[in-house]
Amino acid sequence: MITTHVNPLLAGPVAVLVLAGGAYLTAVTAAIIRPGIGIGTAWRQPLQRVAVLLVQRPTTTERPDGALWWFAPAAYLGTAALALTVIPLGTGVAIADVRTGIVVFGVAEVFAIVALHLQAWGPNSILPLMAGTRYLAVMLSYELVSMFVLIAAALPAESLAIGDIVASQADLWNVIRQPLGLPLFAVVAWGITTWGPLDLARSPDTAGGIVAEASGRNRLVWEWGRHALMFVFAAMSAAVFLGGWHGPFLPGWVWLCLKTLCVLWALLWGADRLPRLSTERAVVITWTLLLPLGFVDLAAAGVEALP
Amino acid sequence: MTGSWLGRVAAGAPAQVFPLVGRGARRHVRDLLGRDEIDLVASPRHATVLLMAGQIPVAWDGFTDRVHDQLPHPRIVVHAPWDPGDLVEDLVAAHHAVMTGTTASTPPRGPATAPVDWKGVGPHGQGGEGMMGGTPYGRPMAMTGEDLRDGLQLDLVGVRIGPFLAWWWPPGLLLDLRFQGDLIVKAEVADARPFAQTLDDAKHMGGTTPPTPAEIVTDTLGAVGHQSLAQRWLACAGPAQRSGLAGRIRRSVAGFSPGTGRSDVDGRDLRQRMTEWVRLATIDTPTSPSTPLDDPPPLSGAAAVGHLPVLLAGLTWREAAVTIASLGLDLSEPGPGTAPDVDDAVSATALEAPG
Repeated sequence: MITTHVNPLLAGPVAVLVLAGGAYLTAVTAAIIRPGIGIGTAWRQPLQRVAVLLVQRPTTTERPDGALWWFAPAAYLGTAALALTVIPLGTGVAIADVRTGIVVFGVAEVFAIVALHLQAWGPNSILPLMAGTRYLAVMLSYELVSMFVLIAAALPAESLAIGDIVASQADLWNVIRQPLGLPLFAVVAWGITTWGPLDLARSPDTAGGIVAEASGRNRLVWEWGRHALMFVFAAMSAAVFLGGWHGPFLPGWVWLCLKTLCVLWALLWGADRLPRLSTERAVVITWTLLLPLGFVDLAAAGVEALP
Repeated sequence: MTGSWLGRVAAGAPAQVFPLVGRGARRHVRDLLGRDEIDLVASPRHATVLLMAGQIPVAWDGFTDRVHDQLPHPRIVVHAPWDPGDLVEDLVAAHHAVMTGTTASTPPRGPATAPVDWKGVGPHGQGGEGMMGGTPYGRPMAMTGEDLRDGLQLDLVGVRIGPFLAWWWPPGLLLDLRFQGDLIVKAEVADARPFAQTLDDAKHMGGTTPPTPAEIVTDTLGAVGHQSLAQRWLACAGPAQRSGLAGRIRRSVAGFSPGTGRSDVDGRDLRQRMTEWVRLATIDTPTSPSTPLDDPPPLSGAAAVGHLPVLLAGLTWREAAVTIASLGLDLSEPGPGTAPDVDDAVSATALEAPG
């Protein structure tokens, strides 16, 4: 149960701090996973790259949609903030633990998809647009998977609030009770952040796809949103599948941090290792394999929850 | 001053390099992939340094200028036409100079106007039928055409891609593609002159060598999006070390359906071709003549260019790009012929802004 809410006056600064720190940790972890880069370089490279983007001056394309040019990256980052509000930050602490936390997280995912499309449309350029079109083909399939696994996790708690879902794992973590949940949720994380196997919207053949025309601060805001979303998905996984703040000896927030970092590492390692998919293959795999597995996960959780 | 402080931090980042690869420079550019001080970026919009490596024909200035103007300020150009020498140091120094502001950003090269005027033809002035089709401002608008798969009428749009796209793209290859979504309905080679690449062009003028199987594997990994695996592969000292990565590389193209990019010439699809390149790169004598006659070598080089229209039709753009990279196309000598029409071509990224 969430018993403490962050003071509304502090909620904004806390969210910005967590999103900035989380995005930084994601960038450092991703750098460590690449070959030839040690921790000595990995901790400072993200900061240097941010500096490059701050030095670069804005560019434009022929007849872009000027409003979307800035709105899409801001909206993408905003969805990370929205999702963060319902995720526990410590034992019984959250920014705003509404009774329908799962729904809020789902809404954030949908808004992120909308932001991705706006980003593809904004520059009026063929390669970003083509990358966005592909994304349209795959998004529905993995979005359904997301809903199934999150509802399955909510069933034992008999509540849609994330705090209650964490509380329901005091004796048994959901990762053991519902072993399919976490791997399926990882696919959703890669889809929303266009990372690894689901990089269709920013693949090399489209010169970076939805960010092909973005440079400077515009790209910085987009990448901040993308890295922050990856962190938010790791934190959500820790809360919903790995028992959240539950754990012996250490304080709850330390357990949350440790679990989040482990999931973050696994997500980024998997993204580096797994094969990239063609549009057709991605759709076939999600509809014929992942979606049925999501059904099984939900059905098993439902049977277990029967009195 | 904040600006100079920020610039000094930015100067410490890896040089963000977008390479334009001319004759004889492809190996030098590919080697940059293994350097921690250099990032070979996906789009000129992400770069601080434009590298013009090897000999790029003067007739192609229109393309290079368009790519140049897509780099955000501050930007800098590094020319390496012949022996690259200290290429990495030059690139790092250039990045440093332009980030700290000790070197001024290069001014635009292209005209600040739309390359082609609006054409006042047809019911809405764009030159097509109804509200569709036509080429206003030289940009082809979508027009419906029959869908390859189920006979529906879907929007068709024409796009030119090349002659530069990324470090893994065969430089000089210019394609005219007709898309429905990202499905290629029709592919034509607008200019089939990938630049000849030699081991050391400055010393061995004339003699050309095809790309090695290991190099084709590197390029294909780049096209797929496995840049870190490509770096690991590039860092391998020889066939023995490479064989340790063979399984992972074969799996890296497992995300493409069997049959993708299949050619009747060598009887292989993309995945089988990649398996064969990996096999050739991990045995000690890759050009061993003991290859049985019923097992032809993978389709590659100049011979493959003529097959591109057949190979690419029906593929999605991602499948097509990876197929192109797996063919090792940088073999043919630049042939005679005029420079292609620059005005409506897509260089590196599409639809360049005027000014």
